[in-house]
Amino acid sequence: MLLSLCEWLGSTDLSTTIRESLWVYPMLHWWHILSNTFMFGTIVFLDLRLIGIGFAKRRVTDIAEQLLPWTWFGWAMMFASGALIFTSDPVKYYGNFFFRVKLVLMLLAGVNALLFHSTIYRGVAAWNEGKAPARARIAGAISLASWVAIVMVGRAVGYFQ
Amino acid sequence: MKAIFDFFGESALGVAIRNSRYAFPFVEMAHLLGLGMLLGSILLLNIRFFGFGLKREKVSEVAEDLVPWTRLSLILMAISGIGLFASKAPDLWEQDRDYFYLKMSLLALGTLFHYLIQVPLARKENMTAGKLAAVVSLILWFGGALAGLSLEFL
Repeated sequence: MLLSLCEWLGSTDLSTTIRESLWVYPMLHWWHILSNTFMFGTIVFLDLRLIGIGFAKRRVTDIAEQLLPWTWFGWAMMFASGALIFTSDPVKYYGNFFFRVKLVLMLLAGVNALLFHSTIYRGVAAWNEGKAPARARIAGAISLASWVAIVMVGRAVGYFQ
Repeated sequence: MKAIFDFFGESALGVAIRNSRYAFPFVEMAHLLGLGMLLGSILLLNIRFFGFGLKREKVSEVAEDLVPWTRLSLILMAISGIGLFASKAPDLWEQDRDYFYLKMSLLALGTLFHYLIQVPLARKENMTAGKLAAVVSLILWFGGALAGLSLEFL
């Protein structure tokens, strides 16, 4: 089912155009990696504040609320460029072990963020200016570890089957 | 200049990375993680200079917060960059010398500009010159990153 969907996507004109272009394919990778500046480059700093490394003078809400729009902007660009890279050769990515690991890790990071925002972060007022409680520190550590792993696994997709 | 490329290319580090199937990708992962945090910290400072965000803090506060992370990611990129350079020096010399020079020049200018111009402007809360400096900063850093990426993805 998924595989046949990938086969169909790979047979579209869009897929062929990207795959066979000398410039589009590398430019999509540049776009993907530079967009990570907005996403990884903002998530990291909120995670560090939660864990308790740096930004001690800043309120958690000031960091979270001011960085989040940029994180989402980065996410949208990552998704768009990533979807186009995937489209260039869907069957190859479908079968790639590291691509699958990357999807699972992204799901983990997403669930972690969702749980954080819907539970412990609701009571942020109590720890906004000081050290975050254990559950928030753990959420920050899981987030940081999973995004570091996602970047690493993402690179591995290009090197290994 | 050839002597520098040869020195790194023939070094034990360069040979070891070339001979390993896994070393190069891992060094590159470290380089990309450093890039994400480096450009992230630079970008956020510039966003503040432009007034597009982070307005609850003064620009001097944003700089104070981010400078240690800019430095840490520069160190990570330099260490991993030496590994990448050592392993690729022979090919770089033969094929991509010009892009490499461009990249290193932009990187050097970006670093100097950051420490000598932009951080002092942030400390003085100079927003007018700061906006102009932010444009220069983005051109230098993202230009340097693009030149670097073109070495790998072309």
